[in-house]
Amino acid sequence: MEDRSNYWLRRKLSRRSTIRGAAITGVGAGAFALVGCGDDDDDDSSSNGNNQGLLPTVAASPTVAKQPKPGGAFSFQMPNIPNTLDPYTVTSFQTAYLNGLSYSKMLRFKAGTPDVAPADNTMEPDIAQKMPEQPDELTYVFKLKPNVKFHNGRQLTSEDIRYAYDRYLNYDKSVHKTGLSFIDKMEMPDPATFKITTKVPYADTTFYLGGNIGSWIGPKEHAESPEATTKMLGSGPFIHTSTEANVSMSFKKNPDYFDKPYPYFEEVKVFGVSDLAKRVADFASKQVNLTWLFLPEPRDQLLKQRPDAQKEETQGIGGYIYLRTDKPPFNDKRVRQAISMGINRKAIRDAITKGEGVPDQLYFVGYPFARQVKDLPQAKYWDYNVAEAKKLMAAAIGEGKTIDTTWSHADITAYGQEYLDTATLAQSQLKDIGLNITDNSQPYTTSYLKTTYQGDYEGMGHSPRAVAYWMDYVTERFTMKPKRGRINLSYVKDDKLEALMDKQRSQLKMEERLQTVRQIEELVAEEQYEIYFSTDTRTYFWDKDITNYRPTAWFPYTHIMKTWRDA
Amino acid sequence: MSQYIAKRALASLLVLFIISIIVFLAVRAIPGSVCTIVLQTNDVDKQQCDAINKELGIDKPVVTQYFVYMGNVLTGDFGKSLITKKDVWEEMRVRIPLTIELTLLATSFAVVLAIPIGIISAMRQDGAADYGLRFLTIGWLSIPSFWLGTLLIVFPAKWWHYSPPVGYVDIWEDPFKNIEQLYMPAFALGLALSASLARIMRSSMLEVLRQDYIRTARAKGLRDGLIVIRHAMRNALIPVVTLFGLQVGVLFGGTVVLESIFTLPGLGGLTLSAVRFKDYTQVQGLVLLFATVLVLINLVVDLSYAWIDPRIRYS
Repeated sequence: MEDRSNYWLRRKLSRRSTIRGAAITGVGAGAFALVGCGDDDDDDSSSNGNNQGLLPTVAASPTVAKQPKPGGAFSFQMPNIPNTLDPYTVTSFQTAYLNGLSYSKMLRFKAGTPDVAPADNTMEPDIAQKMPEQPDELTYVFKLKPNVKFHNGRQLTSEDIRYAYDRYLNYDKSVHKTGLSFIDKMEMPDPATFKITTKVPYADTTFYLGGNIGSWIGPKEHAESPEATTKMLGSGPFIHTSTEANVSMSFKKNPDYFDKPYPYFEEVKVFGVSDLAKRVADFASKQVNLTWLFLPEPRDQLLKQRPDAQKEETQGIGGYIYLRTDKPPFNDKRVRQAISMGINRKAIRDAITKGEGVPDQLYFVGYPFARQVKDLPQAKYWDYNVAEAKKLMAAAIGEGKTIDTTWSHADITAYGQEYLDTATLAQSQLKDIGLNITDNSQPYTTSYLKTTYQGDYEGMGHSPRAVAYWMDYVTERFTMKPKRGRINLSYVKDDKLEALMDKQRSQLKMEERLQTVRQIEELVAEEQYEIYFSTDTRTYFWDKDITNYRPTAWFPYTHIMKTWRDA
Repeated sequence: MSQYIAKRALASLLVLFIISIIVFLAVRAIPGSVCTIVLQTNDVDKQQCDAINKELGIDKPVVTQYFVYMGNVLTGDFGKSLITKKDVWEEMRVRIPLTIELTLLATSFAVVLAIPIGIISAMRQDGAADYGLRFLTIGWLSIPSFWLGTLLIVFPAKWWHYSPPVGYVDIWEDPFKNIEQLYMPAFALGLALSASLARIMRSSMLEVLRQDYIRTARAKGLRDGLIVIRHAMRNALIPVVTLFGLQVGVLFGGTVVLESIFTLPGLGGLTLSAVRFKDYTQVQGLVLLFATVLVLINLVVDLSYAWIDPRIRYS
């Protein structure tokens, strides 16, 4: 295996560069110290908000070396302008990006400034005044900032938070019912205080409340209006002013934004550009200030065409195969192990991403705390070893026999050519170990999202996976408990794994939780419940004079409020 | 003449009627349940589906549905989009000007290029210019517009760091910026048409140039330019106009891809998006609109013959 398995860890900022970066952080940008955090490691894992299982508290702002320059306009590209913007009824990550400009959450990622590494999942208060008080393991008390107003001028109160969470949980068209299902009780002692009681001790509470989806707070009068799908109305840093269907969206600065002095830009314009060549051309011709998610090929084009631009690689997207482990032949772990060993990940990387990316992945993608595959006892299953794979297949299904199966995946419209190419190459490679695969390419919206993506498939399925910022992500992958949404696509039924997942979820001390997570990693690696491809790299580019900006793996664009143009 | 116009108009209405039936039935023949599209989930029960079917009027017999739908269409009500819930006609109306502008620009490019090329090629038959221009037009015919569009985006950006202004500005707001946003897709769209037109113009001109009246004009000592412009070109235009009418439909189809590549908010982009999201009511409205435009263009082409060639009198 290649020695790049700690790729993302190497990209996390060192302690020294963290201090350097902090020196240009804008006025008012909150910084955190972790209570009880004594980790001085240069690896900076201490910046993880989940560390030690204790909640961060607000510390002093970092030294300010550069004076922010308010004003001006900022523009960036997205692959599409979403059809609907309602945060309650959409899981689209693209909608979430835009929600981040106009809506607020209880907490938010402390992301987007030079002192925060792209994969740092530290949370900071958003609507909340500070991180919650935790009188016991089940209770979280949030004090709200006093000056939070929706864009319609109405004061936000704790009742609005209750309404939003209740709507996510109970509205019949909500697609986020599972995310907040850990909530047992919501109380509003006064308009500025919000109290949550969880059903069980739940270590990822703050990550859900500050996460990307199913957490935006929108006022009732807007959420229940017909405009909810076409207009965003929250309390965020930018007011949504107009949408040019399929082309662009415009925002202006929210003059009453509660987190002064943000935002710095007067206007933000978002262009939906589906054509990759056009995205490259528009940035090359300096017509947009930020563009992102480029694989190595277009990245290199932009490096030549815009040598002046700032850039950063962030962790990309890792594809994975899920299988019907509840039925033969994939209920035999030897078949699954053989499939993993029958895939030549390096050849796929060479063909699609110029050989770049994280070679080997488990269910985590970019977790700062995750062990790398090469450090797992089961690392051999990621080695391309056709002879060993054939032996495993023969032992499982009999010498000389083959498996006929289907491989369902989305068409090109959602995830791009590289995703399809990965499927084509892997299917061809797996033929060598006795898998005769019928490719089933499905229209993304009308078929794939409603069938394969919901677990309605036979044989094998294939989807991309973005990074996840909460450790309990593993539960979504493998729980066999009553349906909680799009989970357990491999139909895993493993009591030992279930018990470990339950255990880690309630472990509030990080070190203890990590021990459990280590056991889960090894179990999942041994069983190969899901089979993982390499993770690619995605590069952001932004103008040279855009200051106090850094990409984040967590996407939503609230953090643009911290950026200004240093012209 | 008026009888001819009336006949052609009636024939056009008949064609539109047949098209409306085909479109209406084709949309209903597509497999899948409308209520899963409306609710954007497979997890729907019969009660929900019944309510949606009733709301959309698809609980009635197909014949009734058709007449209700067409009755509404005639009053300008194309229904509501299944996905965005917006008025289908309104969604189309705001995009019509852009697509018309793009198509007009593309046809302008095509005509401006094609007519001189066809004439020069015919006048220099079998000469170097003729071979060169024929080679060029065959090349243009072979280039798919979406590929040319991509090249037009990639190379100016690579060589000169230039690409058309992002977003979209209405022509009445900023005409220069608007034209700058549209000239590339229009050129990509119009080039293949110009090649077809140039080739038909050439062969038509060759035929006309061999006519006795052209020989007579030459014998009278008229200059070549005058002969071509006054006597030959107008007569040679009839097949060109016929082809032009047919090809405008192709241009409309081409906008579907090019508007997406160049991120323009026209009918083409809307069509692509409606098809992707299985927005049947929107697709139905769009196909009807495109069909109506095509039928109207063909009607105009038929009627224009009389203007181009006064000998044609539709008695």
